[in-house]
Amino acid sequence: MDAIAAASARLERAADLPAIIGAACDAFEYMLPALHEQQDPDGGAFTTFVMSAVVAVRGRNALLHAPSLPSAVSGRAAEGAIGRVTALEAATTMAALGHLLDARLTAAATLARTPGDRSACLDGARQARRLATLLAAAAGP
Amino acid sequence: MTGRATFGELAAAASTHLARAVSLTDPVAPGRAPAVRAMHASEIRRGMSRMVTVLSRYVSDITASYLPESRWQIDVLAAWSRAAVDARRALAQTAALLAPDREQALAAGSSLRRSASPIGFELDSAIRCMTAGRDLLHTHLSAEPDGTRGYRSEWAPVIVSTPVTGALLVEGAQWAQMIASRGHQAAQAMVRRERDDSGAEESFLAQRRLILASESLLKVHWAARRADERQPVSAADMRLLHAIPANLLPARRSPGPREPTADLCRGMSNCAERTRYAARVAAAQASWSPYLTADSLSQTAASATAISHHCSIVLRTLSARALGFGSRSVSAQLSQSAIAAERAREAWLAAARMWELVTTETRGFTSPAAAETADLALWTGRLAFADSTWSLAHGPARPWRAPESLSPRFRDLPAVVAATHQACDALVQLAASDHEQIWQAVRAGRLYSPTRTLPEKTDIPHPFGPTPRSRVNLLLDTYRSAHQASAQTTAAVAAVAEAVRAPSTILAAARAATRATSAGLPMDRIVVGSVGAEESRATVELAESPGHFERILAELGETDQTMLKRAAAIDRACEQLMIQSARVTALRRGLVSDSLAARPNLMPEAIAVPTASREYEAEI
Repeated sequence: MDAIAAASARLERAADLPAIIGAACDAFEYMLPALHEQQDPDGGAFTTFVMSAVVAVRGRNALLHAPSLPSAVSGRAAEGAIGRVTALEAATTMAALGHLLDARLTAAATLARTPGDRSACLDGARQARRLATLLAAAAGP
Repeated sequence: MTGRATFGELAAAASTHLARAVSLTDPVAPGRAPAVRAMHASEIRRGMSRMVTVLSRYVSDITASYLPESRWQIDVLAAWSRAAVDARRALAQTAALLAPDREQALAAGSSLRRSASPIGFELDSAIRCMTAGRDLLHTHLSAEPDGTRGYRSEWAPVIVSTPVTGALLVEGAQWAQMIASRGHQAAQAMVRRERDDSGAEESFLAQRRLILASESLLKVHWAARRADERQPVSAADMRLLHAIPANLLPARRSPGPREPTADLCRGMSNCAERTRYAARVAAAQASWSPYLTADSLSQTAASATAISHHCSIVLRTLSARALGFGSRSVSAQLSQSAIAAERAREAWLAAARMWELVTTETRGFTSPAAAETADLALWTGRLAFADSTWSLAHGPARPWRAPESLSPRFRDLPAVVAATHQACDALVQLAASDHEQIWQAVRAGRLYSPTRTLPEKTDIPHPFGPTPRSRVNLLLDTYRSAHQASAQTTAAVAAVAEAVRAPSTILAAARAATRATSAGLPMDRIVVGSVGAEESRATVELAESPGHFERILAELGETDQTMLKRAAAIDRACEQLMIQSARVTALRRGLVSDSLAARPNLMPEAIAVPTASREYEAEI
């Protein structure tokens, strides 16, 4: 979850629209390997993590369409260090990141000056919200 | 199984009415008033005439695509095709013989009045049932603008298959035999009457016509019998014909809380049927549908992964239950099916992960097939897990449904097996449909990949680039694997269904009949679920997307793989020529040094995809 933690920190630090979009895009991307790790049929939340990966990809792709996406982000996705964590820990951590993505992208949409940026941020926020709901349910009460 | 009217119900009703018509006392017996006897005799002949019309329509449906004219053309036909041709001729002869009675009835307006005699009533009822039966079959077919028959449902290829066509002719021949028998009875009664009646000559002619018409009708019976000797129609084929339901899609609904297992099974089967229908429609509309998006396909693949997972759980639970009932062989079969379902789950998961690397230019639309597949994932999850309110968002460690809850008694086991069989079969159709959609997207150059997922050497200054050929092939291969794994699971579950006599055995019979050669109606171009068609596509070497000449051939409707390969080779040769020419021109103009001109193609994949290149130029 080191990569997830790093993505969360970067997202919190992001000050302007391009930085938020870039950090959010990378955050969705970094969640994918972590979700793959948890797609264990014997793990009990297999279906949830499979569906969550679909939502994370939608969020990433939505932000890739943003005109203000920094060109540097278009490079290779960094390989995050994914430690051994339980399904519950993974769901909790990524649900929190989902909530953070929702908040920051919703705020970023108000900063957007072009329709492309606005729709990308809102679409990304919607996917983040859905992701957070799925993973929060997986984390249980 | 479906809760809808079936052809078998209507056919049985027709046979019952005909049997009554044969068994009733002849109303034209001596002692009756001449006018009454004449009326009843006329009703019988009119009934026969109308019945011959209905039978002729049945046979015409079968022989619509072939009408051999010469003897040698007839001789080379398959058994049931020839039987249909012979039956058509016999019915035409019968209709000609009964024509005076039909015209007389039309002139008197009696064709529109209800029959007064009990025999006439039974004949009218039989005709209505036979007509309704034909109408039921036609709910699955449509008339295309080019005169061919279109398929409106998954039962359509079953209806035109050889086994079902043979069964239909057998059914019609039985009706023809019963009608002929009634005609003979009426003719004999007319012989008795003419001895004491005036108008004897007219009666004699009518009687002769009736005898000849009855004998001509018997030719239909004998034609079917000859064909049956050469290519027997089995009891399974008759069951398949009788199981064909009216083409009415079950209403969409979600499972309620605490729904009993039997209702869950029924709901799951209905949802599986809806999913198959949506998959077929999606494949048919792939070339223009706005629903062909990565969003739809990724969601479908993820839901299919979940469905396979849930089916494996159900099958394992049933296996334990069967062992508890003492049925070791069924338990072993169920266990094998569960293993197959787990392999299908892995194949579908691989397909779902491919959509992290590939996308389409259209986004935001979710297809009906994706929605139905998500519904099916919910239904299967409700059956697999103990929590009666289980949903896709439910978290870890939800216990499986207890074996006793899934199948309290041994006789409850077939219903659960049938529902699982239906769900697995839906995944086979889904894989074929999605493969077709991806193929259409490839041909249209609609697949892209996030640049961050492309190889390092790819230098595309945009977030998305055209999907490399290798990745396209991998995507198609993944779906082929999902199809194969799902088909193997379905076959394994079908074997269990056969063993426990689950109602879904008709599904396996329908698939087998569809693979048989069509007897009469021309095959539609859509053959969703045909592994052969997919494999032939798989062997085509893809360009990054179809080039100029390959696209022209495709638009002209060319399907010959050799021709398409030749066109693709011409396109590649043109591309290389243009690249070489560009280098030479650049050299002449002194725009590039010799060393640069000698480098391998810059952005080879972009150049190899003319369509994508033009799009990126427009973007710049």
